[in-house]
Amino acid sequence: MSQTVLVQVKFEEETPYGTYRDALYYDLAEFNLKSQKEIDADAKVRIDAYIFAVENPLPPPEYTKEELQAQLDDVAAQQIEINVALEKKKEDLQDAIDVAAVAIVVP
Amino acid sequence: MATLYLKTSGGNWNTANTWSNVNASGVDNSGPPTAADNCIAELLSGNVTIDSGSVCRGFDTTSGTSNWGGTITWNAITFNIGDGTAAAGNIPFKLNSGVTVTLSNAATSAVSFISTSGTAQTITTAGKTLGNVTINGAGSSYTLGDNLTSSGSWTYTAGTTLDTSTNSAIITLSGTNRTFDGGGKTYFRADLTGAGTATVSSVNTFTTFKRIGTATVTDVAIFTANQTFTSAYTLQGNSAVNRLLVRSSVLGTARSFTNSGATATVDAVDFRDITFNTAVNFSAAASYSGNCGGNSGITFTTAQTNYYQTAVNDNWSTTAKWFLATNGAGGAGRVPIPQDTAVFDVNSVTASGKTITCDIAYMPFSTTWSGVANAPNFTTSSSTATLYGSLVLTSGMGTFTQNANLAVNGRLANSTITSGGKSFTNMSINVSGFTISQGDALTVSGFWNNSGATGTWDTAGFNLTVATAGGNSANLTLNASTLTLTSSGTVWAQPTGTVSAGTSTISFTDTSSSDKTFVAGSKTYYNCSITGGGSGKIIFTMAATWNQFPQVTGGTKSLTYPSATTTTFTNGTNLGNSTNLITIIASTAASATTWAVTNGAAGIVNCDYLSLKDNTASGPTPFYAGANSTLVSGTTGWNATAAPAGIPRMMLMGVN
Repeated sequence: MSQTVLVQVKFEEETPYGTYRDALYYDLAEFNLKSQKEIDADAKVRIDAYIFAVENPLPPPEYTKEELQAQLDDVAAQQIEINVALEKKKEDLQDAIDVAAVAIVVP
Repeated sequence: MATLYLKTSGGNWNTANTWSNVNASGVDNSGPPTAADNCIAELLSGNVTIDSGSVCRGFDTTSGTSNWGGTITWNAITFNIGDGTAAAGNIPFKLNSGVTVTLSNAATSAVSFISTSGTAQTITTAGKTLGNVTINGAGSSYTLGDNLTSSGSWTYTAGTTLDTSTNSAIITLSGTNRTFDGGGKTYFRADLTGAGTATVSSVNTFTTFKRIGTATVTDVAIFTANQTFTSAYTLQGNSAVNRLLVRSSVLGTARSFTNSGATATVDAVDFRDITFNTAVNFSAAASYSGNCGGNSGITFTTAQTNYYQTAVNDNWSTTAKWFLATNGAGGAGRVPIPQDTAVFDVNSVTASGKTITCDIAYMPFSTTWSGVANAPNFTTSSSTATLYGSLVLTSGMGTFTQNANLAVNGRLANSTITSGGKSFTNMSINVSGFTISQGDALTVSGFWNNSGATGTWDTAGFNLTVATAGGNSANLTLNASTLTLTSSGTVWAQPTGTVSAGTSTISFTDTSSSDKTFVAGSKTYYNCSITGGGSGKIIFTMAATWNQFPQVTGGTKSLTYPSATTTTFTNGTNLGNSTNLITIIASTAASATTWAVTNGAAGIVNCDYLSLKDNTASGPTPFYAGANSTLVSGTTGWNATAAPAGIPRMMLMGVN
């Protein structure tokens, strides 16, 4: 099996919409032929694409009925999880109140 | 109770003049049948339509003068058969081979056997195909007199005894996307032969079980509970490409098969979250056995790397395009199975601008397009594609067109998605037990991270740009990333799971008139950036902790914080001066939200150009709204003046 060696070039840029952090990947041989100017140009393509994506956002997703049902199931499960956590918190607080009531001495 | 005969004129079941209490030639109008009536169709009877309200105690087409040979036209309704008494002859339903059954709907032209009699009653269908069949009679005892074929689903809801073994009765579900809910009973044999998703529910025992896929790439067998196979089981896809996915109904929750002593026939099948209690070896399956993760007790086909090569537009599923080495060398490969690696390299696409279409249901453990030449386009199929591992796209590709949701379910190892600058549409993530990391910045329209408490999405420090994100239940590691939310509606919801905010920034950029809701989920975030402008509010729900006040740039903005809830801002920051008004209200009028600053060392709170309503300031330092701000009503702890000069400050104001 042949191994492809890739060079990762991380870059970041301040944009009107915050710091943009991304990475470019080059085959080693390709990277060795690249000038810094060319790499900067590749990075600029990504930065421009990000700004374009912000200013021309992708449309909100359209889900199938099955996907929506799956999401509904997920939310229902999370709701149960949250309720269980809150019930536990209520019990803990009630326990603390009960202990505090015993401990407090009214002058 | 009466015995009613289907008259020669026939008609709708639930009509008086369709029935006689004499015989088929009777002139009386004794119908419609009640749940206490035994109904007979005999030689001279006409055709009958099962219509709304049709009931009886029993329906027998063999006990009259001679077998009936008429037609049942079955409307899309449920025919309820049974009451508290066993049907005549203990025959609740008996067809014969001369009967024609025409279903208006393959599923909802249904029959329910609802007798509550404990007397054994025998159902005979004579090879006719029914719609949904349900057994739902508490205390009932039914026997299948022969094989039962349904184009709908089988549901055993209630009853005491079900005997399918005496007559070696096979239950066959032939329809698409059907459910076999066995109610925990023991079955002689069940054959699920339809396309799509066949779901098996309840903890059942099968002497023989068969799920046989069709010539499609999307056939699935879903098990909602553990099963036992005592004699034989067949799990079979249609081909090496048209594979059958056998999986648990819940990703990350395994279903077990008790299979001791049972003979296995397994080929062209991929497994996910399945445990065989007695270890099995499917490694020699001619059309391979695939490992989608979460399995145990299975020896799978050995993974291999497959290299694609084409000079034309082509499909992923074209077996002849896959090789064991690059540039068409090494001999024939295979269409990658889930544990395989798929390589598109410099030699893969030898002509310019060709399109490769992923026309199967998944991408395997690793798919890479690194170094690909001639700018090929990559298109996913119109049905949901599952990604079982890492995906590396590159800027050297042409277009990436995602035609349906990408289900990111890599659970064989931690994995990486590298976008190569390509945008994704919908992406649902469930990598329960594993971490999926970004290899670079990622833009995706719909993002749904349902990986549960043990799955993690890690931005690896790169930007994540999404239009909207759903109810994320998994862990999120943001590092120093900017999470940009570009759309409106519920743009982010993280009600459960954990957030490792790092030094990240949540950025709201939509400036439309639509509101943007951020469900914070009582998590700790770091910075928040809001692009000003537009009448749409930013609505924060649930408690949250932030590093600093939101930075609003470039225009006015309205922010809503949850009433009777505390939002904590740990530290402050300095922003520039401007006159852009920031309106801050609570979600419920006259019910204040609380802003708490916890780090007194950061200095006083010094704001300006705010409109504050229903807001309680809390913290070790004074809160100054600023000379150009308005305390509308319901504010507590705010000073309606500018902060004294020369004091360290944290600021919130509109900036240009």
